[in-house]
Amino acid sequence: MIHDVEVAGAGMHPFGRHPDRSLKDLARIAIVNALDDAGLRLADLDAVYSANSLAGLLGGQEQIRGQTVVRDLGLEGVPVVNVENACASGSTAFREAVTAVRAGTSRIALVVGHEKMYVDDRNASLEALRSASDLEVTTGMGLQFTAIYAMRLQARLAEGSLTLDDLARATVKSHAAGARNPDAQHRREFTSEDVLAARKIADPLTLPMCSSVCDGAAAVIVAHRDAIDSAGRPRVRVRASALGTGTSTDDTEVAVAVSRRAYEQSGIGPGDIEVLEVHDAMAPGELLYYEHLGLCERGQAGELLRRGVTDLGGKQPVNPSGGLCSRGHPVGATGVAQLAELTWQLRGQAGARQVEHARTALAQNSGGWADGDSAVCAVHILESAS
Amino acid sequence: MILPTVDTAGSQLSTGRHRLDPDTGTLLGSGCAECGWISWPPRAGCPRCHSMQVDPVTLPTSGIAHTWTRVWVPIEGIAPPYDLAVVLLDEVRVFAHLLGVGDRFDTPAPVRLEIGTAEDRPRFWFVPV
Repeated sequence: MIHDVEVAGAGMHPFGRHPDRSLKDLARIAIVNALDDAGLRLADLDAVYSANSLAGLLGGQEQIRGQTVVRDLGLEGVPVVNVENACASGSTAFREAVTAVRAGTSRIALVVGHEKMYVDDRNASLEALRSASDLEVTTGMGLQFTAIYAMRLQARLAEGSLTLDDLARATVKSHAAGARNPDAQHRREFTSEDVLAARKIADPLTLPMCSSVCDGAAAVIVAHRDAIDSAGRPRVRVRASALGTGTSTDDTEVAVAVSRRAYEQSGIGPGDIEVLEVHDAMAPGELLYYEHLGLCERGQAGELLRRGVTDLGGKQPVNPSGGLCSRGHPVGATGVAQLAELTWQLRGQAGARQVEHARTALAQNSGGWADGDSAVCAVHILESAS
Repeated sequence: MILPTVDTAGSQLSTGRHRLDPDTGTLLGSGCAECGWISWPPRAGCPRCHSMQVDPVTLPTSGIAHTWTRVWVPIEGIAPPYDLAVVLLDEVRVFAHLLGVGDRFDTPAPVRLEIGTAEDRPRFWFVPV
């Protein structure tokens, strides 16, 4: 039963620029925080799922990135699986851990996502991100993920179903949330005027609308409920885990298809979700996901935002952490950070950004680009089990 | 640069599948011999019926720019600003550069294909009609 699978602990290394920290340092701190949070020790872990996307391209460390990270901490012997699935690596690693615990091959698994994108040559980081597309197709094209989101949004501006003001408003919301999150990379608030007047990146996107290069790590402990002593602790269980890849033969976006699967698994619908973390690599991108995830009808995202439904104090708050744009997007760590955030939200431990009385939560993490849509999408639904 | 900056066509990493026909000035997709589905870029199999009987097919040279963006940040040594578009050639979506649109361009809008020389990067692009 998937309902037997719980998130027993969560931890982060703050996202941002950390020139004095190696990848091992970032991951170690997130892992230690997650273990402390769960009241567990390294010796309790029987499996590791490690997510990282760029350390191979940016540092040359390929093949055993997870082993290098956990062995530095003193963890040996257990199976370590290295997961790489573009910007959805973290949620894919989480799904693997959930699957293992469900299947009984693991009782207590560590999921850790870690990434260090600040390197001497900033251009190298942009180049490395480009490899989340089919290079045989895109090389020489000047493909950038900012441009991909920009074209999706530009189409919506052209048809009149979103306005520039909506895009700015979503960005202001993102940064307001990031400002409340001590683990966020960007903690400065913006006005709509600031956002629209900022440096252009890819029309209609400006700099504050876009996630940036970032260092960071996040970890969660996935466990069978019988394997941990939860007495006195708030409990969070996994209600759905869905993963998919885009299709080119119909117009259904991958986030639509995968979230439908997650809703079917969970037996609840989009109207029942009380807090969400969505993949806003560019802040206004969250508007598109309101529609893909079924929070509103097609073309109604701007209205949902303007009505405040997705604000921190609204009925269905989206990205209380600040999301990818403001919390930061260290690629391999992002999906795990979403799940850590939702764990804290469901336990009532999210501090100044706490969503009141949230009992069901959804994380959507997408990655890569293939034939016009994301190459991967993962959707998880968590719920308070206390 | 840590990734290849030129077409990998002809390298050992390439499928070796031709994506354009410089003689006729057209893009080449793959057409399914079973169900007729056309893919761009060309593939070894059909994503709709899973037949592996696919053949090169010539795509139309005129279509509709569905959406576009002007990019202001350099990558791959391409000097900004440069313009990117998603173009619909009948039902087939093609991601490509857009040239000659000036300061104002409203999509959807009709465009046509141009193909450069073997030395040009990118090898093809679209221009407004």
